[in-house]
Amino acid sequence: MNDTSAAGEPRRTALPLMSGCECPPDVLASLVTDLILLVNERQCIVYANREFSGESGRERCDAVGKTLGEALNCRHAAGRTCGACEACVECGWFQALKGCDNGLICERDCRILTLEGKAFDFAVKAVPIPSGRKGEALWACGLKDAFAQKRLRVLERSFFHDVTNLAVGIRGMFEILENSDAEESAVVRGMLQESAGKLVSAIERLRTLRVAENGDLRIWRSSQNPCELLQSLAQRYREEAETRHLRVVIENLGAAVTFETDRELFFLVVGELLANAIEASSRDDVVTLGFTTGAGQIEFYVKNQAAMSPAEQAHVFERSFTTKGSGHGIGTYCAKLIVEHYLKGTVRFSSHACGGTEFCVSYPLLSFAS
Amino acid sequence: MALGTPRIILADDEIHIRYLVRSIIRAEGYTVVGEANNGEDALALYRLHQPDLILMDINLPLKTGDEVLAEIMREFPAAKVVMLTMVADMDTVKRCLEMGATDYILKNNSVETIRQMLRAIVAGIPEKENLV
Repeated sequence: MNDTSAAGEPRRTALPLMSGCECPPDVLASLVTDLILLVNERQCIVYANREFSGESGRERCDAVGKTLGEALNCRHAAGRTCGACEACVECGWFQALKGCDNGLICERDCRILTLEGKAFDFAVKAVPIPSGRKGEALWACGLKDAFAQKRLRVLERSFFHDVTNLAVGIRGMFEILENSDAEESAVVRGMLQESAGKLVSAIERLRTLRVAENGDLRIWRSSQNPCELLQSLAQRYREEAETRHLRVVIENLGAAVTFETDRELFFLVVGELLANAIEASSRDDVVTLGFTTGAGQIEFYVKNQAAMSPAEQAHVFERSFTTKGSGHGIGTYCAKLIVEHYLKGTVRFSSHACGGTEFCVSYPLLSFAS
Repeated sequence: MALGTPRIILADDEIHIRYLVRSIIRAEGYTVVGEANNGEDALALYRLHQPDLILMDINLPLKTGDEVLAEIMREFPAAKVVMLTMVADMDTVKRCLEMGATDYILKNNSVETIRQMLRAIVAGIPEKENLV
């Protein structure tokens, strides 16, 4: 074997790492900062490194004998067999395990939302390895937390884009203002005010999500009229709906009721769902807003005419999931996090080819201590 | 460009960006023959007016700017399409230039820079007898 490359430089040859080394694999695995799992052919964990406890908040010995979804308490595995649910077909973890049948490393993204609402966002690598036991197959898997990288992509693609767009418009309108007459000045000032408001909202939205994820969100409850809330919300999205030639209709405004909630968080949560519904709609579609009351709850709904595919439905509420292409996607995750962890409510959805898609947000109707 | 006033279509979903660019276009003495806030309307307006130039955002709703560009170039191979964009869209800008876009204008430039870029682009448009 030639020891030099074509350019005459010394060739770097791979050293046999374990040659003469008696370092136990468990010690090596403990040095790795990513999660390392070994799973058997029933897709159950037979080994987890120490990072598993730090990452999941669960004892690694408790993970042994369980699937990843069972070990992390995946919402899809509740009361069902992890790996056999409809949603598991779309799970990146199982896709990675099944995808390396040819003996090569298979890489997939895996997002798991737990029953407690904790969101995992892993980049998974899996490869089959010899088990040492006759007839038994094992897979070695590395799981890296990919959330920070994806969040940065969301920031670059969505937040920075929107914020720069607004800031650029504000700067440009100030330049126009310098040479404009009284009539034009009045128009420009109005647009400046509107753009500045949108800019603050865009920043506040991201800040709220960040604070909510850290567990530090403060809630300011006050008595609210649901009819007025929905009308204000529809007004906020009027321009976006008109741009897409569709209508936002409010129905069921008859019930005279008030309830206590955080007004701005309501607009953020139901606004995210409304924005998604508008984006998912086609020209001339109708997006419907409304609410119902019963059993001590008030339930707001956002309906649009388009149905989500089963694959999309399996990932709704997961952090970083988006149907809008790479670089978007915190809407439904954000809504669920805020409603279920801070407002004592629930968020659910249904989607059918005949009836379209409906997201529902339920709040307790009576006031309660926080 | 010596003859007539260039006829321009402006497509951007942000009302304040449309206002800003429209002001620049008019201050230069050019004519805005149509405005669109989504891709479908931009394409329809282009077919209707067949302007000398269309300034078009890339992130348009209903039909994206690059989708509209592809359709315009297929139907009107001599069309002058200038993409309006932010720095973050540069990969898409490169693709648009490969698809036949004449040029691009960064929206985050100053008004004066946008004005100069627009002048340079208009100066490169061949004269047409049918200009107003």
